[in-house]
Amino acid sequence: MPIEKYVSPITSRMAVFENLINLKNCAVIDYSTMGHGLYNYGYIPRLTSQDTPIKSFMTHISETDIVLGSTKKLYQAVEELISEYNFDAIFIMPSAIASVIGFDLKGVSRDLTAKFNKPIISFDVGLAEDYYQGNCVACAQLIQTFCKQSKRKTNTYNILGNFANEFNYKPDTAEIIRIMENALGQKVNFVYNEENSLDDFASITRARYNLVTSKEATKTAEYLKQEYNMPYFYFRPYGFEGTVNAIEDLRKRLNVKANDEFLRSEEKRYTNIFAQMRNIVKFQGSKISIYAKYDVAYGINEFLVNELNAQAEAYCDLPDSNIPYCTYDNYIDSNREFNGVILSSDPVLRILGRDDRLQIDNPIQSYKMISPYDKPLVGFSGACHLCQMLASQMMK
Amino acid sequence: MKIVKTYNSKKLKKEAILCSYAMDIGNHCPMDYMLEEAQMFDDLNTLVVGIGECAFYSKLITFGNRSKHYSYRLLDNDLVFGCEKSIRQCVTSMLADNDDSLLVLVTCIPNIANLDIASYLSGLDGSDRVYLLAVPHFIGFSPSDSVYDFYSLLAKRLPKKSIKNGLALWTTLDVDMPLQGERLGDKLSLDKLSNMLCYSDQVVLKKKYLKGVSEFCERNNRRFYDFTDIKTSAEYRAYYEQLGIDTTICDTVKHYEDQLACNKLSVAVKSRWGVEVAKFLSNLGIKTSLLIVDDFNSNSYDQITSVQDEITIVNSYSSTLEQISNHTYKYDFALDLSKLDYALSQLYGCQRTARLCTEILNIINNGGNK
Repeated sequence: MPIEKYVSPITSRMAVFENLINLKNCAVIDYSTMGHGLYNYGYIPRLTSQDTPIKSFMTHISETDIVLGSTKKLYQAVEELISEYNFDAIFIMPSAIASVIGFDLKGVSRDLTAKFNKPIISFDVGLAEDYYQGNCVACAQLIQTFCKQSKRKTNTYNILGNFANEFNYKPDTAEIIRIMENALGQKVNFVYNEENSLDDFASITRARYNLVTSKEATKTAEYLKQEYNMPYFYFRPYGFEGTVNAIEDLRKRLNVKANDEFLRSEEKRYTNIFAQMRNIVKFQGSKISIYAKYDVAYGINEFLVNELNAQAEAYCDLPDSNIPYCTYDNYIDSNREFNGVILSSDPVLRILGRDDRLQIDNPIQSYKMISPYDKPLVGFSGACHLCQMLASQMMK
Repeated sequence: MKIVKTYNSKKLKKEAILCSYAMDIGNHCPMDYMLEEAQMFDDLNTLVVGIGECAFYSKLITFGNRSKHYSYRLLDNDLVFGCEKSIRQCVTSMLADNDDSLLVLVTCIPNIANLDIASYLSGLDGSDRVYLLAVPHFIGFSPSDSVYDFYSLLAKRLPKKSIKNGLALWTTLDVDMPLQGERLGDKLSLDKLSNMLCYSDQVVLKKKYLKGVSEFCERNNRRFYDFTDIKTSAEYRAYYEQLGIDTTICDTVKHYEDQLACNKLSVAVKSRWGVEVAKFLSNLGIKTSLLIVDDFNSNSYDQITSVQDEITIVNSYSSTLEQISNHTYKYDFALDLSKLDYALSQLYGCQRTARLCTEILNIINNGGNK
């Protein structure tokens, strides 16, 4: 029964929107009713630091448009954007209304592109698809459309992943860049979820390889491997040893030398925290339950089980992955009596009456500013942060 | 200058003329308006039938602990093959949870796809506790229409109690009125509404109750008094006499009205009460050629078309009269009454009319606003 009692996760279309709204000098048109678009609009301030009112548009679809199957307003909206602003590209959101009525948005986009001589692009996602699919489609289509062949630079890489709908994606990205630069001397060429221009997308192939930080970016990385001969590596390290192992693994694959001094200094810093945390876990023996996006739940669980020997169990909202799948409602209902620490997103923690500082997944029902000054969850710094979060709960 | 949405009453069918496609001029959807309303009820659970976005955004509205607020997420196969079995299952389980009633909100997509939710739910055990309301955003004037429809639905369906003498005052606010009666108060419940409807005299002070209560009064032999708009002293005098209120203030207001009526003017008005002001002025022979209002719903449409054939309505409250006044809109005085919005909402009957008249006379005597 497709009933959602407590939490409804974001949809594929919302995920596409979140991927697009941060792009420089590009506009998004929501081919939909007024309120539908307006809800997305309410989310924009959290997602972009650009001038939001001139980035997002909608067609204010009405009964007449639906009955007559008219796309006139879409043409008029694009015309307004072209005549009043000089956007590099316009993206047409794949609205549910368009898909139910059967509007050929792809065809209309092609027609508009030819008419206005600008890239006008729509995306192909359906009603039943989840936000993983939305991220996957948006990332793949943006890169496939705008990426061009460029001359390679040695020791450079792109970060594909860390989507806007992920919790604390900015500090996580910053930690990965810090580790890559200091441990392996690698320079970042392109970060997918920054405020990129179309030129940034065109220069993706300058990098030697791609780091995939979220599962949804794998399809894009595979495309870049096939078309541009760019290898890719999954790199989203959690924990102290986990990060060291991931660095070592990457070092071997890239055949570069690691900066031992940096690794030693990090080890010196984290050894003390690590020891304290292992003691706490050993003596408190609290159970830990994780419910989050796949990459987060999997990574944190590995850290807790393998490094801290904690009694942890992980669930995610992605079906058919290598950790158990669970809907939000099922997770909430089955963990009401859970005697231990829960790491999850804000609605889960709120409904289960837990401390909202144990948030590790995207804020679904509350507003959280995205800030690079937040603490990461990945890498060495992330492991320290996770230990602090857990210690404060376990020692209560 | 950007006139974002304009209506012209001569040409007006159901649709605004859009002057921009910017997203920030939009309104929230009827589902949102309805959930805001439903969360005030203690004994009403809700079920939103819609797509993922409806499910997601409906959860952003916080309900009290007692009410259940669920969503039914429609997928492609529901739209192609129908979803009678699972919707029935879902409603049955919600009804079984407690004795409260259930409001089922049917959003845009099931309306476009013509999912016949009413027939899905017919014959269901406890269906007398189910209130089904269509809340598509692509139909009608304003999302606020859905709230009018909601109270209309309740007034039709709530269990009828025997009539008793007395006044029902339809407002959630503790307003200063020379009337004694049962007030709705700020704690709402279906039972409370049902009790209110049994009084012989129904005084409506908030617009959202207007449709439901007036229809109920027509059907059930109740006396109905509309205090939601701005009437002339003559109209209020009739009300006051029936309700036994002192009519002295009506004489004062009549004096103001006479002063206004001397000026056969045409005006442009900006006010949350714009439609009511235009209707009132029209009764005094003053024509309104341009209105800036914040919400233009079907009630506003009925009101404005009952008095004027031609008027331009700008449904964007951030616009100013100065921005819009060009040669297209001919008028003698610009009346920016927006600073009176709150004050007018706190007054009723002749007091409201008096406050409005003094302000307009003041503006006109000073040459009009820009």
